[in-house]
Amino acid sequence: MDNFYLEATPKTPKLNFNFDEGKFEISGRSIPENSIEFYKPLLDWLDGYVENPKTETNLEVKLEYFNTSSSKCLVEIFRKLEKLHKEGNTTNIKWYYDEEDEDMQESGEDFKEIIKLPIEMIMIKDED
Amino acid sequence: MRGESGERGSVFQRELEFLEQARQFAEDPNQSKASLTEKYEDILSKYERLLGEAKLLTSVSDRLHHKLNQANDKLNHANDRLKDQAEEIQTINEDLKVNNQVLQDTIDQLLRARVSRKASTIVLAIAILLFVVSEGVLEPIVEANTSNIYVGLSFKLLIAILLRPIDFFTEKYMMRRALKAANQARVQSV
Repeated sequence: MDNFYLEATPKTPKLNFNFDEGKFEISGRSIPENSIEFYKPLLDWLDGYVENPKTETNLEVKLEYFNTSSSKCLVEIFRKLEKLHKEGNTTNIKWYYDEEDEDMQESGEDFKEIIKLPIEMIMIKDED
Repeated sequence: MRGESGERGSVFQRELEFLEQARQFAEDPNQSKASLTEKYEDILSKYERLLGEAKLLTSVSDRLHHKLNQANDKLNHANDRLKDQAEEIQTINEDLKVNNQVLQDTIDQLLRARVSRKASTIVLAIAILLFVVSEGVLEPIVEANTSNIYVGLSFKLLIAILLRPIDFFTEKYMMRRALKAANQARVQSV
């Protein structure tokens, strides 16, 4: 199975899903014109991954900003990982947020409430 | 965001499919109690999940709106600051115009004074030259041809009367040249 990689743009996040290592990353801004069109290839890729997963899967989410429809797509991604977790695979999500970005922290907490997966909240401290 | 509304159904594709299945299930009157119970539990589970997602989407949407309001406030503040700065710049520009005019007037006055001094020197030289010519060349001719002393005096008077217009035109000519040179220098420096 190939890795899934998309470079970030001003409106879409970087998607770096490494099949070999089971390490996934979503980072940047997610405000695509059409979220489902953007995330559909990734969701299809994840369907394939769920059929043949690694024993440990780690997803890092480092988003600065996302729109409402992107949040629904994130739920879909998390649901697929939830399935892996249910089947006994080690699955972790790390939700990164800037120390000054309360909104992103609260969004992470909201996801935590509805997704039955260990979601670790990690604060990124400003250097200066 | 035009395409987003048209694709809204796709974002909820899974939910729409489940709804369709549930409708078809409800239309079948020959369901056993066990399958009804099973379907009911399934629907409950999906409802719970959908409620959770609806809550999440509402929170996200509210936060986005809050961010939008904050961004709008920042923009308004920035706009006000820009307006104030534009007014300050306009005031400074007007002051600069006045100062420039004062400076230009001073430069013109200095130039005029310098040109005037030069013109006076030239006119003095011309006067001396005319006096020498009058005494050395005209006077002997006049004395040889007439005994009337007023003829010689008339020449000297004429020279004296001509000095003022000579001074005026010399100064005017030199001033025009000096202003032209100053303008060229200004254009080159710009």
